[in-house]
Amino acid sequence: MGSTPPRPAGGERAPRLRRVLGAAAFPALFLGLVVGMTELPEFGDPASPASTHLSPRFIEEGAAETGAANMVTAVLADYRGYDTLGEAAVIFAAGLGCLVILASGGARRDLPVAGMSNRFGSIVLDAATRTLVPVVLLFAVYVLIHGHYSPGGGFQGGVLFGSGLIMMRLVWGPADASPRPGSDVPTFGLSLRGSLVLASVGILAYVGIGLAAMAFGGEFLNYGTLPLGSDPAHVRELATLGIEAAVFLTVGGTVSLLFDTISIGMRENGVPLGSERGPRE
Amino acid sequence: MTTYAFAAALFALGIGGMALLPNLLRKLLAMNVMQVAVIVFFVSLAFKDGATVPILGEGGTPQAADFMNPLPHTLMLTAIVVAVSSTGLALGLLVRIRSRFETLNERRLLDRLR
Amino acid sequence: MTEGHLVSIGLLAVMLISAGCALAVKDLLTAAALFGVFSFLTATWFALMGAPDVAFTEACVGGALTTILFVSTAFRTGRRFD
Repeated sequence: MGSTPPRPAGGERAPRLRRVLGAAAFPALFLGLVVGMTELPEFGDPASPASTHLSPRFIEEGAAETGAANMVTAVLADYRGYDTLGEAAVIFAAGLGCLVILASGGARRDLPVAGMSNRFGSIVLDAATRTLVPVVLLFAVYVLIHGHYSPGGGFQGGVLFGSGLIMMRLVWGPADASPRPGSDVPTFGLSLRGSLVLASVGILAYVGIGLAAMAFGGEFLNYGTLPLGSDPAHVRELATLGIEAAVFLTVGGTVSLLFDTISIGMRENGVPLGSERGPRE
Repeated sequence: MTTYAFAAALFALGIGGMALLPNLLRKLLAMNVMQVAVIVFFVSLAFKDGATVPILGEGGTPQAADFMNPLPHTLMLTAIVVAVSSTGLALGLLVRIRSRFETLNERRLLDRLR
Repeated sequence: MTEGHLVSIGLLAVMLISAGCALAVKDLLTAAALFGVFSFLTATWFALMGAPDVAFTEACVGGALTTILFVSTAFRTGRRFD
């Protein structure tokens, strides 16, 4: 099947027999997987085990219990709140890890200045970004808030928000640098430190909502006891929105943090970092 | 079954690329393909014949058979975002490796390390 | 929509081909662009499977973000795979 890889280029090669065996292992894996999959339930079977154990409850009671018409949001932020907390923590940890790997070492004075200081310079790009970026950022917030009733929510909104920030970086240059003289390009972008603060605030807000539920006599992340109204479904709806907003901040901050740390070296206009590095880097 | 077979083919392609390609960046691309294969598999598990998207419309009590299974959708949605952050972390490591060893080829890297 | 639906099978086949091409080319920018194609096809297939949330995420993440991250890495490591 499609798993025949291209031959390795450069470097010394493994012995021929080993290469042939290595390349043959993966079609064999494919065949093994297909044989194993004959045991799976029929595709599209509504009575398959995956669709009969937990999900009928989510589908039939979810909207009444959590006030979210979008069942994915209901499951994500309410029924499986613990799981989502873990995912948000993993995302935040990945952003922190990237920051530590690439921007640590003390010697990097260019830490807060990320992105390309040397703009693409095209009028078309500049004009297009001025129109697009506000729309993208606004749409990100809409996706977050409307996630209860349509596809969307914290993760999608956060990624869109981060993409909007990255778009600004790409065309207008680093957020902390002073704008080009004589140009009225606004520099309201986040600095690298700002992204980090955004992501941390998000993850702390998530834990904070969970702890608040505990403080009012419930379990961790069981929002029913929060004093936000009398209708439990409405309380859960508001708390779910808070959780989604926390995820939004975490994901948006982390995405922009990842881009910033990876692109710090782009300021030399495409010259790889290795050719201009200092004594220690 | 055809869908499952396609997911298996993507998985084999991804894991084969990870094992056999010499360049670390291409290994990372292959890892992403493998992750997408797993996501494809889960989403096809959530499919039900004659069902619609898991968003409640107007009126009536929802019946389980009328909506796709939302649980795999939730799991895969978070998995995609976690995948991109782990890709970002891996790219950070690769940039660091490249600036230290001037190559991303696995064999040359092993030579340098020897 | 049944499994034998031609659109689904066709999308899956093109997905497999574009993933194979993304892994086969020697240029990082081409590979990143092909991976973006693969991600958008995957997002379309998710939408076809009745998973709009997953499709939305995959389009944002795979189509835009992963490609951007790979391209900005290409600026720092050089665009040829060695």
